[in-house]
Amino acid sequence: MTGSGANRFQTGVAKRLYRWLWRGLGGAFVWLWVAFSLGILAWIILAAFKRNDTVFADLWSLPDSIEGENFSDAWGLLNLARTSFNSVLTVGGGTFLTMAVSAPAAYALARMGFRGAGGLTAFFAFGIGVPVHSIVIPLFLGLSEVGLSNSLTGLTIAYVGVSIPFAVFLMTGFFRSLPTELEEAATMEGAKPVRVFFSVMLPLAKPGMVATSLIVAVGLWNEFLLALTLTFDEAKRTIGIGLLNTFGAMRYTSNWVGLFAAVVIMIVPMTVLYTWMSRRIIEGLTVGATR
Amino acid sequence: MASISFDKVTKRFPGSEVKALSSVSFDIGDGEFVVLVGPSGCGKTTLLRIVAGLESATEGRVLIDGKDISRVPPGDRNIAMVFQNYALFPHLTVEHNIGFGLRIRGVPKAERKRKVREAAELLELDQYLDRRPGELSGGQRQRVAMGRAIVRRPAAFLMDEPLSNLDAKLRVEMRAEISRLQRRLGATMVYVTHDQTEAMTMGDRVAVLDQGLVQQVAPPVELYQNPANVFVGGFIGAPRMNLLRGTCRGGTLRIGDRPVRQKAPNMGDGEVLIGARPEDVELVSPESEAAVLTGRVALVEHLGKETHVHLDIDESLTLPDGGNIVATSAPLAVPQEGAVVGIGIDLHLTHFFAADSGLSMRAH
Ligand SMILES: Nc1ncnc2c1ncn2[C@@H]1O[C@H](COP(=O)(O)OP(=O)(O)O)[C@@H](O)[C@H]1O
Ligand SMILES: [Mg+2]
Repeated sequence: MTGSGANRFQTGVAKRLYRWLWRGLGGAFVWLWVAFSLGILAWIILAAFKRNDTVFADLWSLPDSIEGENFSDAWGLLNLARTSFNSVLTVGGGTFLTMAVSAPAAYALARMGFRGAGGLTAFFAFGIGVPVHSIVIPLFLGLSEVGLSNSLTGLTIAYVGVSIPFAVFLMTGFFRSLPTELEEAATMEGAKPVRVFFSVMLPLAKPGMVATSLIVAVGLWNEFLLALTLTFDEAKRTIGIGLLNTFGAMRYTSNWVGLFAAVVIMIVPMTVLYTWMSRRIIEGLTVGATR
Repeated sequence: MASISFDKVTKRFPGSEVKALSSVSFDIGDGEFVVLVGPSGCGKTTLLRIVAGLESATEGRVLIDGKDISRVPPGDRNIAMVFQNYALFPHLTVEHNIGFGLRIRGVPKAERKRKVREAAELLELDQYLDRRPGELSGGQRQRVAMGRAIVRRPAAFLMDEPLSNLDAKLRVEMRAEISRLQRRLGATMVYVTHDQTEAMTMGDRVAVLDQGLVQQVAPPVELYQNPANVFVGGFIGAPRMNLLRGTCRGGTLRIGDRPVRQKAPNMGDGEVLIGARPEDVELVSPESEAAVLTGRVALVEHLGKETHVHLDIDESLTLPDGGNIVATSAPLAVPQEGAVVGIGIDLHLTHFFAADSGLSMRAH
């Protein structure tokens, strides 16, 4: 009796130790990863304020003087006035149009129960998996055909096209998680389907819409391949391409700190946006799960 | 206002073998309060949703004021529905929740505000007009759902277990309040509940459903005194009616082997179910002439005003799910648990059902 009791006690301890070990390992790994990412971010931000002759001398030193000049260099190298305007236009427009198309489409797929809705949903899911590389050339040819290559309109349309599958897929799940009773209540009160969508379902879907559009916007902001292939005038370049040009210029000028400043300029807006909205994003994505 | 008629309404859900509703036919008069009652899954909600237009009948018709409404969209039926979980719009204030239907119908703002205020006052919600549903108690949400229903003065109300999410005390209060409201508005009411007490206390008439079939439609007292079949007898009344197996031969009724020394009412020979309500069961001495059978006291429940005595009897005498016999007795005359007592039943007060069909034998 006492022996088995002691045994049970031992296995209990072993189990707890085991669990503790795993949890410790997992936690350690997560924190390592966080530290690594934050370290790189911090290093780049620090370096962006240093001078070219000292930046690699002591990697982790604080800058002795704040070189605001790096940023004005970067401004010029990135052609920031132009590229950021183009980026905001294509990313903002692309995200807005993506949501304008995806939200009603997702609602229809989630709720209207028409024939082939299941197949269409699967088709959109499949669309997420198609690599952009494989459609760049046809996309370029298609846009050229209608006179939209090398134009911000064309790039925006391409952005909408590549973002829709993901947005529709995410929003479909979101609309599915909303209670049907609310639509029925609105219907009983005399609302027709379009009205039900705009007065009830769309407001309820706001957390999901916010989360989806942020994820889409960040993806497009960092987008590079389409911007590179579908536009070629200096005046049509986005900020990602500006960074590439900066990098190219670097070969001749060795202006490292200017490049770091350019990187900071590019990543800061999205990092701030993401940090600020992270709670909303998580809420938006988990509403379905906790209901 | 509106009368509602069901004409052989049948519903079979796609992919389901059994009918959720089988040939339901009865009429609801203009301004009448009818309660649909039955156990969970019997088809109450389905029937209500067919009236609302949220579901369509597989066969049969629903008529409102004599007109077939199957092609009329839900919003044009001049009917309001209160959902079990209230289905309030969480992003709208109380005022906009109540005024939602008026807004959809393009009622001018000033008139809308006035009507919403009137409804809110009627339901004592006027201090909460700026709140959202998330900031209200369960009882208040329930009132908002009622407000949304009454504000446009529909010809009929449909309510699906509107009180089931409230605590017992509030439920009793709201029961009376809904009855008052319905009388005041004079609108037709179809009220769904699985609670026989609600059915008995609220309805002008009660429609009892079981497995998609209408069992009986009658005023509450009639249901209680003259249940059309053994299901209604067992479902209406609490504690529920006791059922005993018996046989009738040549005018003599036997429970088990024991003949009952009372003249049985006129009925043919055969197996019967004897239904005796707990208040009609008398506890007597086991040797007494009045004892038609004996039982052992299994449990005594003191409720204050009265006492429920649960008795174990020979299992062959009860129905498989019939359990034991329950008698209500005055608090003073209660036997000890474990005691053997005689069970007296007055045949003038009992109900007789045919054992095979379950139909009442008295009604015919
Ligand atoms: N949408 C549906 N699809 C399939 N079966 C359903 C659906 N709604 C209800 N049912 C079935 O129909 C029967 C009656 O349901 P319901 O009307 O909700 O019962 P009640 O409201 O009396 O509890 C049940 O057996 C239920 O499982
Ligand atoms: Mg129900």
